[in-house]
Amino acid sequence: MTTTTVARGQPKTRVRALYRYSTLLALLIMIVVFSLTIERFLTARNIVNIVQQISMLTIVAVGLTYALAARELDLSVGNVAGLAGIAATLALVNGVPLPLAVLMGLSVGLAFGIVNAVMVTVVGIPSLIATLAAGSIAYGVNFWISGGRAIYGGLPATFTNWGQGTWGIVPIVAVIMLAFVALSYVVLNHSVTGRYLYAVGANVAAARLAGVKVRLYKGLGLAISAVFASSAGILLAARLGSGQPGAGERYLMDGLAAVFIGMTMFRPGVATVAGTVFGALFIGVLNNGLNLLGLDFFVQNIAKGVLMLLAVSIVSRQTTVRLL
Amino acid sequence: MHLQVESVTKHFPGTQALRGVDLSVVPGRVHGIVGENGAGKSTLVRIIAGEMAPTSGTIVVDGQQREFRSPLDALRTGIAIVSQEGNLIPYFTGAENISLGSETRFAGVFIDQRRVLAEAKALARHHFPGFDLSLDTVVSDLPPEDLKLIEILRALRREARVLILDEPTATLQATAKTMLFDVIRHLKTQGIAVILISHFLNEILEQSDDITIMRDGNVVGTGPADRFDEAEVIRLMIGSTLELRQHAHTLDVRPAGAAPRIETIGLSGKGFEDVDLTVQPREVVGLAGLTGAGHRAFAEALYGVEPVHAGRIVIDGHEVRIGSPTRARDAGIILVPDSRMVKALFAEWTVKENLSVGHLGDVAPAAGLIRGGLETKASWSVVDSLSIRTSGGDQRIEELSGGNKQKVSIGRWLFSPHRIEAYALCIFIEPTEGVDVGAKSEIHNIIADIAARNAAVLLISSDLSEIRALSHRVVVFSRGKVVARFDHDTVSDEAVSTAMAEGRTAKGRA
Repeated sequence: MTTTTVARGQPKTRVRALYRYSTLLALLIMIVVFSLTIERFLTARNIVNIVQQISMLTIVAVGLTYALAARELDLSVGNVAGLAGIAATLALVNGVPLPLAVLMGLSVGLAFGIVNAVMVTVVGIPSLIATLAAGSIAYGVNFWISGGRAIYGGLPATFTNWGQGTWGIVPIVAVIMLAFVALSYVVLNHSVTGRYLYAVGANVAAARLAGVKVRLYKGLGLAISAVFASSAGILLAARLGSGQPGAGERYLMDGLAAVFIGMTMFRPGVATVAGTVFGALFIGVLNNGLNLLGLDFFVQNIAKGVLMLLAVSIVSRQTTVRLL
Repeated sequence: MHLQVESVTKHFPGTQALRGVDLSVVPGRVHGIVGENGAGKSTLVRIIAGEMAPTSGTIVVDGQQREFRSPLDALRTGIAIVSQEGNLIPYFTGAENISLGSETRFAGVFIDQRRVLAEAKALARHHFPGFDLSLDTVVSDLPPEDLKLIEILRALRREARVLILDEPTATLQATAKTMLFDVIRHLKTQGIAVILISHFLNEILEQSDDITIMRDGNVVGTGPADRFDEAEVIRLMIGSTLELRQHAHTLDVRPAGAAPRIETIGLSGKGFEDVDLTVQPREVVGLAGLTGAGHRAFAEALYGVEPVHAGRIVIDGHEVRIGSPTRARDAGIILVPDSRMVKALFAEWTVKENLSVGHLGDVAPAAGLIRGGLETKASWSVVDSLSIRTSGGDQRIEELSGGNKQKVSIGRWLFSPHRIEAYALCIFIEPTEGVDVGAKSEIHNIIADIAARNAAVLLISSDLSEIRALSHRVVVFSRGKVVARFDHDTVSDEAVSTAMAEGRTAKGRA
């Protein structure tokens, strides 16, 4: 039997091109508007600031890209990032050597990633539910071990330097972020693993019959997402100079928004590293500009919500690909 | 209500599902429609029920031409469909399901629960006299036959005059079937026309007043049911198409006495039982059977799609355990599935990506990184050798014709030439489903070529002439078991049809 998908009002070529570049256009317009209205916006200092601000977000969003490539959702990233930051700083203030403390933070991510993977691929719980629950657990453990208080005092300078220091004008955190991006670009675009992640995302049945280990790659997407989130959480603690219990929360919304904005470009409907990096930049510029304009914090939430709806509408107009 | 379907065609991208079908459904009679999977039965009834529009042709109701824009449209005209899976809301009661969309209300917005129940009960008493149907129970707690009755009642509440029952007995036990047939007979007395679709031929023949046999989007036989017997119906369902009789395929002579490449001993799994089969190198064995006969389940189990419950699989003299398609592939078993867009191809991917995915590791010599040049080169050589008509490896697979898509689906396993000689078993399921005549014969040549390179080949096709044209031997399945084996020289459509029918009646008597 042949199944057919009815394209929802396939727009004409010119309109499609407009859709495709609409987010890029929006970013350019936004930059122009901010430059004209905010004096400090286009200064070297502010640009460095934006780059620093989006480094952690980019790492989370690129991690989410692995999960979404395999068509699984990870709603635990924000809270896993928060917990990893708390775990690493708690270890540090208690005298655990730096490499080991970082490893402990990353293990938190890995543990949550593995639990997510097992719940989704072995037990068979939809990732939307499994990762939402895992996020709640991470949040609870976070406040339990931190007592809801910030963790500071005795954090080694090497550690905080990762988040705050620069090499020349280049923030160290940006270099670390670029390493994650470069690695992910190669993995997702040029490796067997990446192709298989996209395969299980594009057509599970076909991937299975082609000999791809479907559960392994679905699980891998979720595991990588959690490890990336925990890396970002540790770097965020380094940047803040303390472990903040509520610090990671915004990475869920911002990270997903970045990935969805990225999906409008390159391969519409497909999460790509390049698209996600663009999406993170978009979110970073938006956050920064609205901040500098002195608008209330809630304006950012409203703006990002609207943006995410717009981006997803654009994607669904462009393609018949199922987003999730 | 007299329903006439006149020269209806339905075209899907890449397939012609209906090629000009006529059907006449008379009030007070049961009209059975039979045909193999893909013959067009479902498409036809979905068009009649307003679920999709025909590409051309008309539907005439009582002399008046009708165009249904939606199932509701058809329902208002008096045509209702009870689908195979059922369409009830599981946590609603029978009465709530029956009245869904036509609830009796008070004050305009509130549902009058008591009257809803009373009306449903009255309806049940009227149509199913003497049958005790619980209508205030949540339907998920009811047996499958009650669900069918509730769906029928829902149609009757909307005053259906033509009732389409798609595989109504698939989930029913024998006594429940008898009960359902009693209901159908009662409906007939009230002037309701019933269109019955079933894979159980004996049921169709017993219950129908008229039958229509479909194959490949055409009506290949129609008339009063008593004019047909089971073997005749099967022959029409699967019989040869003219074009293939003319396409005489020269079979490779297989080496006598070679060690078998694959052997199954007492293999059992879901849908098949105790299958012994030995296939020599370079030998093509056709597996024939009606839908659900077990030949397809058997072949899929060999590829690890479904688990094997008992028995052994021996490849080149060594017993193997196959738990997944990945392990099957690594053991030298490959499978080209049916429904290529669902089971084989990645619609948004390029031709190249679709070709390489089966043996991607072979173009990733170091660190798991795909060497782009190798991937392109290997895909081009497949495109060349199978004459896949594409503008290039970077063209999206969606843009190809059905035949070329199918070649990509097969070509995936020819991507690494050095592996072909190592294939012990190649399984093809409906390899020419929805492809045009030219591509059909090209695909037949590709299959013969693969066999010639020392593999054992299993071929499953609902087109018997295809099986005859390509196979050295034909093995017939029925009800999960092998019921007959033929050599190429002794096989005929009649013999195979009879074997399929005998297997069924023999089991029926037992």
